[in-house]
Amino acid sequence: MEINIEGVKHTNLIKNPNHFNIFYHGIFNQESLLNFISFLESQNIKGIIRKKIFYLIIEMFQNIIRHADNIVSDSDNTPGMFSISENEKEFIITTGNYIHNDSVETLKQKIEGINSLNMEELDHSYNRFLIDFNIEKVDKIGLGILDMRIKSESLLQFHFHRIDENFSYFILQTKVLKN
Amino acid sequence: MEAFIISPTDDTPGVKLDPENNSFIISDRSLPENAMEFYQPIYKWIERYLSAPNQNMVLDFKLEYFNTASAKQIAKILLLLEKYSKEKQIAVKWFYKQEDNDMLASGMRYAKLINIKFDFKVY
Repeated sequence: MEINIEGVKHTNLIKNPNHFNIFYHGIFNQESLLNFISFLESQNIKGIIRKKIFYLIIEMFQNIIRHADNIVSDSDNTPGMFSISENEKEFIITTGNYIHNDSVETLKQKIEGINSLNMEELDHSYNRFLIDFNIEKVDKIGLGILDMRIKSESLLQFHFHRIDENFSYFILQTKVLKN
Repeated sequence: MEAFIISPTDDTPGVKLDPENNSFIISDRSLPENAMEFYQPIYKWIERYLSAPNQNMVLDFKLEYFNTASAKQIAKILLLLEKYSKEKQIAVKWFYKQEDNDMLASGMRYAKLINIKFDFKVY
């Protein structure tokens, strides 16, 4: 079924008594994030997992708002996709957005680097980004993506699909175990 | 010094910095798109206040959620407090809900990185 949260359109919700799957494609701005959160708060997600998922949703959604490149130059809203699905053992949060091809290699190396770290190294890296206010001038992909890796306690899944000579589509996925 | 008060919204925290009542608190949600812009006046106010503060200052953090952009700005404020804590009695009270391990872990991270007295309190 298609639902229409105020300001959040093109959202499909497939729901059964135990699991939900939600897919959003459209405007990515702070207003649509807040509407999205408000909608999810009305859903029956309980316990510690609820907080973890919300943290990830906020970071991943704002990651698109901040960093996605717009394939349509005259549009003021960054197009992308966002989905949350659930199965017996985990929640899966996926985002998709366009990026310039010249950003692909840096981003790929950054995520691979973060995935290669153990929890202690992630912690150390996070601390460095947290209190060093010069680091982001040279390394713009920092705290948010580290936070996704730490909060999800799983490897970040990603894929780049080349669209044309200018753009690729970047898919990022995190998974959170229910137990 | 006049109190600095901001009411909470869906994505920005409530801020009450009230020297007259010796009450300093940042609460609710902090998810602004531009955290630097939001926190800059708070930072400036605290910086001015610390030039002639009350005898004791306890800054309460009672946050439900905060994004990583806010985490950096909170770190910036805590580092400012640390700078003045050598001469003044300054402490932080970090509130968290019993089941909220992530919020406790965030507070503990700051306590480990920043040399200032931290108290943790369940609410």
